[in-house]
Amino acid sequence: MPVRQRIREQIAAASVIAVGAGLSAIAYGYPQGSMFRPGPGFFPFYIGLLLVLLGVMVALENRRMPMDDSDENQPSGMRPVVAISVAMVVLALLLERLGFVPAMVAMFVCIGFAERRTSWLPLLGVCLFMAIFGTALFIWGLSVPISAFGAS
Amino acid sequence: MSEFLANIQLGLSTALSAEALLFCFLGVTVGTVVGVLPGIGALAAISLALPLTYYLDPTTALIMLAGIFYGAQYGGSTASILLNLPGTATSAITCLDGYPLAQQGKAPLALFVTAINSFVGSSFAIVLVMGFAPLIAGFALKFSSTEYFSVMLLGLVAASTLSVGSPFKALAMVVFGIVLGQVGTDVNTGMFRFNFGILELADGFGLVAVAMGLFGVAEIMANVGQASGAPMGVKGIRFKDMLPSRSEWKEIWKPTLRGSVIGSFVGALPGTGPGIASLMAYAAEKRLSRDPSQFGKGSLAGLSAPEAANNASVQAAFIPTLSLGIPGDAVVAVLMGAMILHGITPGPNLINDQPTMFWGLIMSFWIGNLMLLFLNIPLIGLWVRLLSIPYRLLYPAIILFICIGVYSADNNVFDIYVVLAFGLIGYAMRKFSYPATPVLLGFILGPLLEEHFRRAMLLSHGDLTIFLQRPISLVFLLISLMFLGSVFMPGLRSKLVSRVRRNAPSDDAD
Repeated sequence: MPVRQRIREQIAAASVIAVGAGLSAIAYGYPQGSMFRPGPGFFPFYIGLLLVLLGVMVALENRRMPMDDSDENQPSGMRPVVAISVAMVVLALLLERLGFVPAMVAMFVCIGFAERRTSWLPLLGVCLFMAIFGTALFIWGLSVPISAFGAS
Repeated sequence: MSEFLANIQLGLSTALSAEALLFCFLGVTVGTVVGVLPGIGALAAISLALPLTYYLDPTTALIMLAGIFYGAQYGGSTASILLNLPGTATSAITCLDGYPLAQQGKAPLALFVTAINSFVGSSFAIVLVMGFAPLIAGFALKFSSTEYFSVMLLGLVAASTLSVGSPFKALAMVVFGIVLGQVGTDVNTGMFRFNFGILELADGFGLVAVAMGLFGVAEIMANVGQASGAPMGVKGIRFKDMLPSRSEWKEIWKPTLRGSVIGSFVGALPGTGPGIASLMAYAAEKRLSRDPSQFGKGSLAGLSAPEAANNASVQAAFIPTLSLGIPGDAVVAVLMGAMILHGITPGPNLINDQPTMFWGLIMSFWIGNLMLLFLNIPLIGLWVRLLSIPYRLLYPAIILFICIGVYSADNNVFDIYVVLAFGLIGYAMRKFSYPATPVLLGFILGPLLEEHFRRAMLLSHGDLTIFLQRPISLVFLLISLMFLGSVFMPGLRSKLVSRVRRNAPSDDAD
């Protein structure tokens, strides 16, 4: 197994351990109660410890297991991930400020950058369709409290 | 017996009302569409439809949501056969023999056979649901919190140890799901936990947002930019080409029945879904076959058994859900979440308290499956054409639907950020093959698990051994222990799974 891939696998396992440790640490600050009447911190504290234990098991398993070099484990480009994330943030920021249609157009523009070669014209077609269909479905049909244009 | 007939009559009168019929049809049609389209699964569709059902009567809502679930299992095979690309993750196995059949020019036959398999598998399992759910519920009426804690533990352990891939990763993900379920207000004391001062998190993470992130957004992020297959040149599928010959009927009926039995059994176990069911059915069929070398080259047996099994398991998954309140797999878990949102607590009392809902839902399964048979045989050409829509035009619309869908659940932009966060987490999990299904099960069952634990402690005055003293609880714990033990003796598991593993990239239940 390539060294870099192994390192990445161990980072993943380490994050699992970190989440567990974090949970236990925070839960320790909550009232623990007694065995008879467990408090709000009791259950999460032990759940966190369990997650730490399982993270360690995964890490040990990673060390022993010869990983296959299947495509699945290869990192694919981060481009779609970044573009989609930005698109969703943009939609969230604009939805209540500018309205549904401007927000979704901005979102589609961002999504256009997810692939290296985007055919913009068909994407524009989908965008137009969704602007009309989305307004009809969400705003008129389901009365989601946003306006098509303008702040809600 | 007369009571049973009265129940069926009650169910039919509910399921045959105009409203129920309409929404059942809507559900199975949407299910077929999302099943056919690769990259969007039943789970995403149900999560999206969930906010839309707030306006509906709970029974009608459930009929529709369940329709999406089993409808997707019918549609899932279409893309597997024509594109060698599973329409839903659970139909990955169908690619193995379905695509070779299509290459031999037998795509119409393969599509017909899978529709029949699906119908037989479903029917078999629905009969079991009708018989067993009330029986198990009656038995479970005696359960106290102690038993509930143990049976939920069993469900979570089974879900993670019976999946493809590393059991430690799956177990870690169940626990991660429980962790996520801890965020919010502690029910016993009203104290805010792990909300990091964010007011929106006082109610915890929204089920829809978590599910859409882990399954919808993560899947899209992973799929964009990957080469998509071109559909096989099937233009104008003629009914004549679809019908199997006499010898072909002979070849499929036994595997179909065996697949139905395996699927029903696996599906009825709490925590195990259609993915593992079709895998086991395929492995069993291959072992029984006189000529295993035919498998993977277009064997009708290899196509039939897993198709029957995944549909059977989907229907059988309703047994533990409706009788114990323990979801059979991730999609049913979301359905259970939908019931809770509608103010109905699934559990042993459901059948007695809400007979109209229970029997209406079951009867709607029959109606829905009949509709699906019609949708998937005479109308198959329609769905095949759907496959020619390129994914790059589809996914922007899906993302928009997801965002507005979660927004409308609470009318709060915050949920869009939650979806995105879980999308990124889910994407990373996918890259490192950590399964997402257990996270969702842990997330939904975690709070119930804690509540029953605390109640059991209260009843036993803080005596932990109560879980071992009560016989039913002890049995559940012993079975859990057995599953955990199997993790350390992987011989049997790996033998079963390794052969088909390469072609089954994930065991996610959408």
